[in-house]
Amino acid sequence: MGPMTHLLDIPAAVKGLPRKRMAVAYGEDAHTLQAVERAVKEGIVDAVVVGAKRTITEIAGECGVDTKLFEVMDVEGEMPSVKAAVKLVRDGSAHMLMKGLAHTDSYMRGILDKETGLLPEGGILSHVAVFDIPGYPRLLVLSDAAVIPLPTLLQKVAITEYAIRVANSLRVEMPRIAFLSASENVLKFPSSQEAAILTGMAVRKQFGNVLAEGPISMDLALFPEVSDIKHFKGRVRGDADILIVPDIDCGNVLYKAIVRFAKAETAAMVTGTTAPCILSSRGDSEDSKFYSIALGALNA
Amino acid sequence: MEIRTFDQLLEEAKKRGRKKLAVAFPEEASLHAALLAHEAGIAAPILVGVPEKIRELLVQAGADLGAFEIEEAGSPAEACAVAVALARDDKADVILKGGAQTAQMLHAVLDKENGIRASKVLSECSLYEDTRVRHSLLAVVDGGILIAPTLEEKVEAIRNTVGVYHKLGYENPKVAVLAAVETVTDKMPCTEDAAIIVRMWERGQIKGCVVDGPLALDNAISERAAAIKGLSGPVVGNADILIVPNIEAGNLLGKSMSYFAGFTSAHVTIGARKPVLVPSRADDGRTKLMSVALGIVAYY
Repeated sequence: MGPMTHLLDIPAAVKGLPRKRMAVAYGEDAHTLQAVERAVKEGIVDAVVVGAKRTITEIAGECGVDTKLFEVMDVEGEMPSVKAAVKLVRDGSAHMLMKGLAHTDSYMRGILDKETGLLPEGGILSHVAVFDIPGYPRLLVLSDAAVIPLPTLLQKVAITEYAIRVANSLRVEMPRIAFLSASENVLKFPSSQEAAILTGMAVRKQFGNVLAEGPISMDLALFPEVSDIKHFKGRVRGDADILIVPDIDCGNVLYKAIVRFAKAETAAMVTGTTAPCILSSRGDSEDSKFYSIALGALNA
Repeated sequence: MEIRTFDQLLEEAKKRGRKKLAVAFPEEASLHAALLAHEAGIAAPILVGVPEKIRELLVQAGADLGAFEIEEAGSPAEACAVAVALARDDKADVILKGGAQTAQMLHAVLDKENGIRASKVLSECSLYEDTRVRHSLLAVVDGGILIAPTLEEKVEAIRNTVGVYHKLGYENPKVAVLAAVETVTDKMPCTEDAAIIVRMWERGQIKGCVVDGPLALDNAISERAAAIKGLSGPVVGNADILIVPNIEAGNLLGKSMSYFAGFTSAHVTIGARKPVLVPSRADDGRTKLMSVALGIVAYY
């Protein structure tokens, strides 16, 4: 089978795999319960929702979610619920984690806890987003738009490796990577030079089976016609699968621009952890939450 | 035709006619070089220094007192300034450092008011005549001037050296940016510089050559070693120009070729409006002569 081209392909692929179990941290809100219900009904995951049983039952009743579809683990309070959910993953009784009503800070604190969290020693946490852009022929993988503010070169190496794994899970066997910058010329600022260094690593096969180009501007990376006009001869010319951004500001703006202007649907997860962690926000669409759960299950 | 031996280099120099060679404060070694170049028919020496001392040296060397032009200068520093002034006024074509300090010579060359700087960076081009393995001329840059070159200095040194190779008849000389390994790692900054330099070449920011790196020495000059490492491309195994990480590496590599392999060398400083020769007192006669020939062919 060729590479996935739409986010819908992810749940389709997950259905053919052994069912994964998802722990939901502090699932005391309607959005989360509805997303869990859909994922379970569609056969993507089994779920255990951690939080106050009384509240969960009440909210489920209000929004018409059938609590029999998932297990409820009765824990009082935000942080204790996060910790309990993380522990389920850590102990191996769940394969992935999802954020419910918990604040991102608390959720991350639970994941990052040195004693009880999900980050291997010396590990680097990152974030990978996958976009399905109407009219665009490929899924796009973007990293890191959410976790590391100003990644060092070493962190960018890790970010790239995680993004490659996610691209591989989308059946892109030899991903084309664009290390983005403002220009394709190597200029004196660090992000441009780091892009050149990362490209050098890729050329020497230090990222395995990939093709990489950088520094490269976004239009050259994503639109073959721009590469033609500029007579750009690169390993990547308008056909990038993975975009590695210089920093979180650039990544976040690009993420939101793709979603808002290009009307893209997204799936996203935290990587670098021992198991996929879904970090959706209330601003995400229902579909996006569903696809993120599917992406997590695919990578769990 | 690509010049591949020092005999060919000398023949080329002869075609340019006798060039005026200003010797700054001659002592025995530099006078010997000037006499050899004179004998070979490639130079007309102008001896800059204390006239009585120069005549004494000429007598000692058994040379014809009337055959050499003498310019008066009371000290080594003054002799450097006079030699540079002669070059600036086109009364000398090549400058050869005699018993002055290298720093005095470079100081005069780079003097803002009266100097003859032409490029952003002065670099030394050392050619080694490989008479055993590859039967070619191999350049090492820079084992003499740039102590711990920055990225910018390395790029300028490449441009300087590529210019020399064009004069030697090479349309597209092959440049290897050397390191201890062929992979890119932040633990060895010269591998990062190499990756950046190669991207700059890919983008057309460095022209008139082919560049690859990082490469270990064996990958750069032995096709067999490169094949074992799975490296390919026009440069690997066939480099003409070796860009070394720092002066220590260049110095050790050069002296290893001279002393262990017995290769003859020739040295010229590039980046001024006229060739500047900064010989070592230990240079043998052939190196002295070929350095003058190299200076002539590189510039005329």
